[in-house]
Amino acid sequence: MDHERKVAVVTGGAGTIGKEIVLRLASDGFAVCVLDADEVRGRETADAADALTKGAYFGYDAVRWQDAASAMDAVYRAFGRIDVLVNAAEVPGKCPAEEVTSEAFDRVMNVNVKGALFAAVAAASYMKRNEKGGCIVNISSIQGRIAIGEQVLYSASKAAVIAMTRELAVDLSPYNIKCNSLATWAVDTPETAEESGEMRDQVLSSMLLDRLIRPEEVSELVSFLVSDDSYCINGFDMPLDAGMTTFRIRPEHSYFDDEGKNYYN
Amino acid sequence: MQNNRKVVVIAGGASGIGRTTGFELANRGYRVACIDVNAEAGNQTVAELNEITDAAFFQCDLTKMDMIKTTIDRIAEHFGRIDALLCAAAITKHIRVMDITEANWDLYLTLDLKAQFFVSQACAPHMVKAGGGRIVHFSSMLGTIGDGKHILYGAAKAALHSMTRELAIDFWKDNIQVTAIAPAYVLTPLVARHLDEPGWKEKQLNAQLNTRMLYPEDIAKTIAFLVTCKTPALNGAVINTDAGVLCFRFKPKRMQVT
Repeated sequence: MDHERKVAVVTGGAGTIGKEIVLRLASDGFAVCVLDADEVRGRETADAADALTKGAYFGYDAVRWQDAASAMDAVYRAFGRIDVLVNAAEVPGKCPAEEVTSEAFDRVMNVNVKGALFAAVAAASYMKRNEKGGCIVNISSIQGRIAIGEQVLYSASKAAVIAMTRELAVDLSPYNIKCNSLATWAVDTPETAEESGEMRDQVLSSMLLDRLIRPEEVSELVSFLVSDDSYCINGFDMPLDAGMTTFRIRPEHSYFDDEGKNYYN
Repeated sequence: MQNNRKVVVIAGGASGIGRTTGFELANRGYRVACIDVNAEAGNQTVAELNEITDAAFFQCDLTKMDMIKTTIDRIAEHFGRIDALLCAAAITKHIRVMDITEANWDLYLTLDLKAQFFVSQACAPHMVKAGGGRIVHFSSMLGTIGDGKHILYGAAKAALHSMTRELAIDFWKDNIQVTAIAPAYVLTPLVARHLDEPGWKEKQLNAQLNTRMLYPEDIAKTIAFLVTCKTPALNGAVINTDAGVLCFRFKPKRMQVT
């Protein structure tokens, strides 16, 4: 019966957010393939998914975008189908514009843009064989829409992901393959802790929330975007930003008084 | 136990996508307060909903702001709580600029904008008492683009996008999240009558990306997610539920349906 089980591929599946996505999709009933360069954490994550449904690790370094096709081919040979791709592999790129080097530019764009595109095209070639098509979710960033400074590489790469998602949505539409991106902001991960630590106050006051966004909130949205419940959403960059783009200076008023009693009682 | 079950208010819940969303949320454990001006359709919907959940009908003319407040307070009293709101009531028809009068300006902007605001305002205190809530505004692609025949509806929906943000910001400390959905072409019974017109369906499909047209159920499922999702981080946003209509301008001829 296992070949009847839908198969999801998560690039960057060993990272903090990627792992949450892998485990959530496994809980949702998918067989999940973890594509990552980190073999130790990748195998750990795949084993955890395997305990829920079925999981497998495939070595894939997103900086080597040329390997995307062979990685998807390995998944297809092992599982017989691909239904869902989540592109969660990414690298940060904090750097003032004046100090950007050609090498840094290539590294960020190769992983965040080129890697995601070639993974999508390779996975789509197998999704086309499914009667019901498939679904692609690219993790973008709210920084693809708005600047926060010293992020020219990362933000430009994510803006590219958002535009790429729309174009992929058009090109893959005849095959019932849906493509959306998920624009995240201020997700609490060890990977970003150091970088965002010095601007923690700014980050916290940028949201309509009194804490950072949790990786499991990202995976809740991914789970929705790959489900039939979101059939009507296509070519869209879904913001999971706690309202970050809706205002500039946050009001601190509330309909509760200081005792926690609301004014309406 | 019964009274701990969450309550969704659906204004314009007797028919169309409002009605479908009632069933979707009933199946997910919500009790449903159905508001509509049409008592016959409302009672029929509620009778069917009562086979799955606790539901009650409240007749209300959404052009009367004091009646909105009274109705919402009655709902809170009846069910003991209000956790979520969908305002799906709207009025629209093809109307061109030179045919617009002050009277239809006032009617359309009242039903498509003012009522959504005052229903939200009336529900908020009850949501605060319940520890938080979810408001989903019913917008449209016409809040973002035009079509030369819905100037009043479109103006109301564009204003609704701003209102969605403002409510999200104003209520953020009270744990009320406010989002909007923006559908495009949906095969409601009212729209489905065009299916007989030659070329109509092809034109619709070429304007969207998905290979089948959307039904009210498709929109209702996304609304149900926005109401029931655990994360409060999805807030203040307009979600395009349009099968891709707004993300592209045209597609290559080889992809078009003829």
